[in-house]
Amino acid sequence: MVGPLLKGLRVTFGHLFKPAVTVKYPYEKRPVAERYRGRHILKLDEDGREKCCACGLCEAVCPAGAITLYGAEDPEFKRSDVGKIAETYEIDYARCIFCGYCVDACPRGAIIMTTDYELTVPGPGRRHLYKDKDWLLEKRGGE
Amino acid sequence: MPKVVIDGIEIEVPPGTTILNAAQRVGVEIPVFCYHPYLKPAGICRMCLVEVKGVPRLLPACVTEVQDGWEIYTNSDRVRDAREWLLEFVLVNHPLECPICDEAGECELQNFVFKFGEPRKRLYDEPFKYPTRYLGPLIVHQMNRCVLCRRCVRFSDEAMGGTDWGVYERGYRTIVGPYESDIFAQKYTFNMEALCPVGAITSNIYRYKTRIWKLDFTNSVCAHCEVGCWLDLGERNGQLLKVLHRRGYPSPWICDKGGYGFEYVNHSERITVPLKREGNRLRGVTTEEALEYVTGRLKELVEGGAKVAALASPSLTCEDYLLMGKFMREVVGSEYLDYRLYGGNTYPERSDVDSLEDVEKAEAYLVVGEDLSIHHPVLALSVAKGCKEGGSSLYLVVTGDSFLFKFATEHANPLPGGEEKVLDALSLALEGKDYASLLEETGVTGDTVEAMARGLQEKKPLIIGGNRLTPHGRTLLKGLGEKLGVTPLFLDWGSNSKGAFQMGFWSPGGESVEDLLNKCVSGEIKGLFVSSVDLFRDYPNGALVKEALSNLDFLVVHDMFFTETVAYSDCYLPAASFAEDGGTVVNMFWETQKRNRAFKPKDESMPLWQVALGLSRRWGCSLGDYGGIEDITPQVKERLSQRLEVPTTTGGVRASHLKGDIPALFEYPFYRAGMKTDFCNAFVQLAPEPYVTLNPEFGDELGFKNGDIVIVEVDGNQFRMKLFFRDEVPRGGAIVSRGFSDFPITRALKGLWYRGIELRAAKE
Repeated sequence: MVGPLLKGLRVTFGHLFKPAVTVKYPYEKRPVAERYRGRHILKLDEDGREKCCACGLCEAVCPAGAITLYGAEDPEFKRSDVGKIAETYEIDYARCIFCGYCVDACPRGAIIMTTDYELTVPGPGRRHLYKDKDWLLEKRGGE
Repeated sequence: MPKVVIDGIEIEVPPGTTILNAAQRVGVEIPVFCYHPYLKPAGICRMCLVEVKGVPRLLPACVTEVQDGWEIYTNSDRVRDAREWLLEFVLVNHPLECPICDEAGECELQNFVFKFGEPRKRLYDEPFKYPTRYLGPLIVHQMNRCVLCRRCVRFSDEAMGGTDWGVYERGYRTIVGPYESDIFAQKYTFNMEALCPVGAITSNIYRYKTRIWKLDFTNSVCAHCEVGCWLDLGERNGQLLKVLHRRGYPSPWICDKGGYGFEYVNHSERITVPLKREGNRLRGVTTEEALEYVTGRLKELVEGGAKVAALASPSLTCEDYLLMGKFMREVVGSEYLDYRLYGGNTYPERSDVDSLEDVEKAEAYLVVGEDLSIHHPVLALSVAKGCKEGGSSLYLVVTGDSFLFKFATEHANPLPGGEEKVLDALSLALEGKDYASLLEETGVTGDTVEAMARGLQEKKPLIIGGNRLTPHGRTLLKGLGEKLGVTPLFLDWGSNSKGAFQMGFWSPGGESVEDLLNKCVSGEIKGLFVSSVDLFRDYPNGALVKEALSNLDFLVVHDMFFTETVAYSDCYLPAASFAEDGGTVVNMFWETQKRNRAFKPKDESMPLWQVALGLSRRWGCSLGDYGGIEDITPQVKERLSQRLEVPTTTGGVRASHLKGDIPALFEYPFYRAGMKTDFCNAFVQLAPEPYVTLNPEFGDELGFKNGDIVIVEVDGNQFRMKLFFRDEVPRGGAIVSRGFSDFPITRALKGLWYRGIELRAAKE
């Protein structure tokens, strides 16, 4: 009867002298796998122009229907090297299942997934989870 | 009949059938680029090569006629090899920019490479780079993507009778496109875009907006004219983004108004909430409040013994006319209704022509009183086809025709207002009487009339009476038809005049719109309901409209935009567009067609039938138990099967011009001829401002130059316009454009679209 109790206590006391596994999350962050699928980024090329050409393949392949985009023309090639940009690009993170199909489908490597998983939004409702192009676009000058 | 075996399937086909058509009969697919069912086969692209047993080389299926006993293989090793090679050669210079190309998803090259091609590329030369050509607001031409099938060129030559669109250079440097024009908008441009199997010609309006597979297509009927082309409305998220013409009916072709004239549906200036007048301002209110207000005011007027009238555009659906008519008759107790808001005092009539095929089969044509290519463009193409392919003769009695004159056997181009005189002369010539005095002021020679009379007696003609004809002109034309033993085909304004007539949306007393407006002026009518039309833009007597509207106690306007008529209104109700509501329409051959709803009406906008229901409910009466459009349709069908007695109308004014002035015809430019074209951005770019056109010789006589700014003066009203020289304008006359809602040209008119004008150079 005492035997099993001691056995259990051994585990308990054993952990007292091992390093803690708990991470103080907002202050400390755990490293994630290199190929972790976190939030999306719309890439820019070397000249700071958008890579996305609004071909709509990510939108077509998305199994959750989370992506909505409309294209527009950029006749002076200022914002795109092919003259076509996404006028609006929205990801609904309330729907996104982080499967990464959009990244696979993209013919120009314009959308990639980062290791950033911090998508908590303020307030109730889903409205904050609709992320528009400004939010998704890789910040100019490198973030 | 030759018997052939295609891929092991035996079939007997009529002599003269091509291999391709025989294969289509047995359901064997042969890929094609240049072949199109509605164009003549050309055998250019070599995509359709097939093997025939015993014939040493491969044969192009689209131009080779089958012979008895042939064994045809469409999927042998040699054929597959040939296809692979061909696709590889096509792809050498193809930019492969499918992700940005608007054609992707409906591209035939994409489909064929996927089905028959090899995923390889062995020639890595730099492809030819041609610049992208923006040919005006309608189409974009990208030569890089062209596969040189020449479908567009063949359409331009075969259907449009040759325009500035052709093939230049040779061999692998071949270029397709316009030679001179920087802006290519030729009334039927849409078909060239639709015919292009790849993305070489794409729409500028739809350019890069979204992808074809994201659009939901709904089959509906065009609302611009009464030919009634079936359209596929491509909608995404409550926006009409693209129109296709997949059904190929009633004609394989449509016009630019049908193909590109839909932008007003998504226009940012569209008002989608009801407005109510408070002092000098119109304030936005809820639908409930607006309908209560309208009912209250109408009730007040009716109880006070005043009359109320309703005017509606001739482009709404039968359901709208039926319920609004019921509301006016049964609830308000008024018989003053009308739809003929483009002027004219004629009612639709039946003819023995049933379809555009019948039109194409006619031996001869007599077209009077309308530039068909402006108001019934697809009918003009059919007439042109009849002339070009069927060898029919075409006799035109039209002032300033801009398309059909190319095909005309005899073209009487009378001075504005002279069409009916020439018609009179023509019927006298048929009887062998003297008509010389009638031609004096028309500028038409006796020889032309004589030749026409001879030609009309030789072949049985199809008589087409245009919408410019007054009742007098119609009587003349009917008389002429009786002499020749044919019933004329009379054309009307709008897309559903026939339906409106059949639903009884007209005053049984025979009052015309002019009479109704005069009653407004005299104070008999104190309340007016106007639906979907800007009276100042479309009714040819602006002064009368102004006087009538200012004299009213209460004016309700049910429309989509803030037009000048709305500015006079006491209450504005937002209207649904043609894509947002279903319903029945009747086309020019009295064929019943069904418009389908592509998406929900925006915000608070409502179709007219819903307004009528809402008003009657608030009035305390019930029109019947209608939950939706499908409950009304059976009644509409019943009404459509009746034959109505047409009240006889008189012309009132017989068209003639004023002496001493320049007789002028006030005509819409093509791109301003449909409904709401003021709010189609592409069309506004193509026809930005009104202009006056003169014959070059006549213009020289008057001392003007092409492109001058002139002042057009009518009754003291002065209009500053640009002057252009066009060959089609009769010498001695002028054609002034109308249809610009911000340009009050109708102020100068007196109920007819003819008027004498004075022209002088504008002082700088």
